[in-house]
Amino acid sequence: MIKFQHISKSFKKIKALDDISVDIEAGNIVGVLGPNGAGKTTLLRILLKLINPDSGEVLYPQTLKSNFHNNIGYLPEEKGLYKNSKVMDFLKYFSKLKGLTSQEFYYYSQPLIEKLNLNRYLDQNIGTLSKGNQQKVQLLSTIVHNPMLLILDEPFTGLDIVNLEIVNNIIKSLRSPDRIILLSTHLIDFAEILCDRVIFLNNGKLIRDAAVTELKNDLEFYQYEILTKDDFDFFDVPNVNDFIKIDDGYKININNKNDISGIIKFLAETITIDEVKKVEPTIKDIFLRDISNK
Amino acid sequence: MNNIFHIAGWEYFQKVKRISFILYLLLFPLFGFGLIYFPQLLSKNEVSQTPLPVGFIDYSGEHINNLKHEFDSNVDDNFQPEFILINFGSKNLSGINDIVEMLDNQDLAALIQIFESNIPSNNIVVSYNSLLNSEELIQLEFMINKAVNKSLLSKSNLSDSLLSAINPNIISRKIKTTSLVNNGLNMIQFTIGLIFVLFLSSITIFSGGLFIRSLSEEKTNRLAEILLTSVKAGELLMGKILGLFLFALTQLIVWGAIGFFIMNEFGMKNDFSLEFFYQTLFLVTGIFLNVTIFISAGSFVKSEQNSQQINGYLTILILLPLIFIAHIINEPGSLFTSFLTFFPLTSASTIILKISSGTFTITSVVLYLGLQVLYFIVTVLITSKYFKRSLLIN
Repeated sequence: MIKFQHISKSFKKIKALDDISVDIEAGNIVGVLGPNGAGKTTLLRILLKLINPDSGEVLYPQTLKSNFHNNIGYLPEEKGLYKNSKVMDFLKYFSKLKGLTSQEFYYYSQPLIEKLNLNRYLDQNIGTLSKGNQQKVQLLSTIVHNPMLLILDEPFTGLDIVNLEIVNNIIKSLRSPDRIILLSTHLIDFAEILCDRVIFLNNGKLIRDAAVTELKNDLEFYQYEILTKDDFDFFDVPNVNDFIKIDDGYKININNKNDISGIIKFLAETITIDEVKKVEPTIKDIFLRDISNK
Repeated sequence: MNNIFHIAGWEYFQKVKRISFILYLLLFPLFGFGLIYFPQLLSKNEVSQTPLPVGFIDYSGEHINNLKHEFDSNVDDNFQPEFILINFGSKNLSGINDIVEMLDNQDLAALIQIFESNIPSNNIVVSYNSLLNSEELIQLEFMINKAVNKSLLSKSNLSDSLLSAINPNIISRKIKTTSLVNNGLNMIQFTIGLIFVLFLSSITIFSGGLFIRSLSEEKTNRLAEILLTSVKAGELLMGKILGLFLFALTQLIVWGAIGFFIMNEFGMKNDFSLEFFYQTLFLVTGIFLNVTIFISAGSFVKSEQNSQQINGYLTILILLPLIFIAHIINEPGSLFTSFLTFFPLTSASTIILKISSGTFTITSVVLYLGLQVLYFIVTVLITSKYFKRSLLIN
């Protein structure tokens, strides 16, 4: 288990992280979510020991601590690749830095190369590959040494739908009892599928830390879709917390499910309602609501 | 420790394979050779129109006739003699100082002195000034050798038929030569110093510039972050220094080999003196220190534009000894020369030029060498303190 204990970090006058305390258990894929500037990258950089917190500390398991550099895999948001080098040379270089022998590299990399369909690109310069294939090369170099701590920052960038599925499956297959995986992505739908747990950050503060299953069981609001062809301003409707326009109507959030009948009556006097549906909120809805509330 | 070698190997092979590097590696010596050889060719053409006056003092009194014969036989394509021999007599010569003054004033291009000695290798001295180029000096030595061989052979008891069968060119002795260029400055030593400083400057500027740009690239595409999560910052720094040093050394070795090849092909003298050894030593330590400084500066680069600016500033500093070469040679003890000697980026070049001017002692060489090591240690210590942080500035 990794423990963040009262971590704070400021850059000049900007507070990037404000008293963050969170425990991350092995065996889980943990989604680190938040809008731009929320403090996600700073949190990950502190975890990677790239920067030190102003206050607080991170406690690592002894096995990870003893051989830190060889036990972590980090996939940054930007492509950290040498564009003029060949794919195979690049992979070998980073595997060496991670302490793999040549035999170990071939043993571990071969199945991954096949899964990621990179076989025919091994002798090509990285700069000549498509964005998606570059992302796959980057992912391969991040996981080839079986790291105990895996940090994936936007792993789906540049991937088409086929490769999204391949990478998605690979990340799922990496889940193991002694591995900690942190996933930061703006594709919240993928986070919902992949993650066991999510951490929401906003303005450097931890605003939610919960298992995905708990998150939905423990909802503080209810969501309905009001299908209508008419335009309407929901600001004036009593008991509606917030709303968004969707293709064929509106999606509204309310605190008390008993309020829905009153809301429908109110709306029916002004607009023509085609259908009212209760919907299950997604992590994205919960995330957006949290962000707007805080 | 292994990681340092992995990084050094990667840095080295990634850069040494570049086409731009291979072209630069091969074209630069041609350019340098042209720079040195072209003026000689021009001067040769000029000289061929006017025979060069060469003084001769024969203390043994045995060689004048043979040497005169050699000078008369040595004519250019227009049957004009290349040299005019001025015989200053033989035994009991007075006024040697006046003759040396003529040489200093360039009324003579060279002065040949043959002393009485039983060992022919030790008794010939040729003093010359800048009127004589290296090719003409070689020609002069060849003629002297031939004339002396003929004199020695004629003194033997061999029959006339045997004497005519012996080729006097086959015995070649070492002739002591003394250059009087620029009031006592050894022209060959000066040329070597100049070439070394050119090597040091261009190697540093090319290699250093390449590394500053690659460091800037590593920072902007977050490769630096990945590297720092894979190895310690100190290992990354040392690996990069070692890789860049090997890269720079490759240039030096290839250029050195090309230089020796050219020297041999064109019959240039390659006597390796103690000065040459010291200059080589400072060339290598200079490269090592300069690449370390470039990497140190490169780690603070924030963008491609910023890398070009920093590269520009460093290049100007590196070139200072070349810009002020005349001042360093003529006034090796001046305040400005001392500043250049003690300023890290210019110290190696300045020391090489000071050695060329003959103003050095063993103590000063040891002191300067210690200084180079000290600068390297201080640069590494300062850089390692900020290297990680500066690589993450983005």
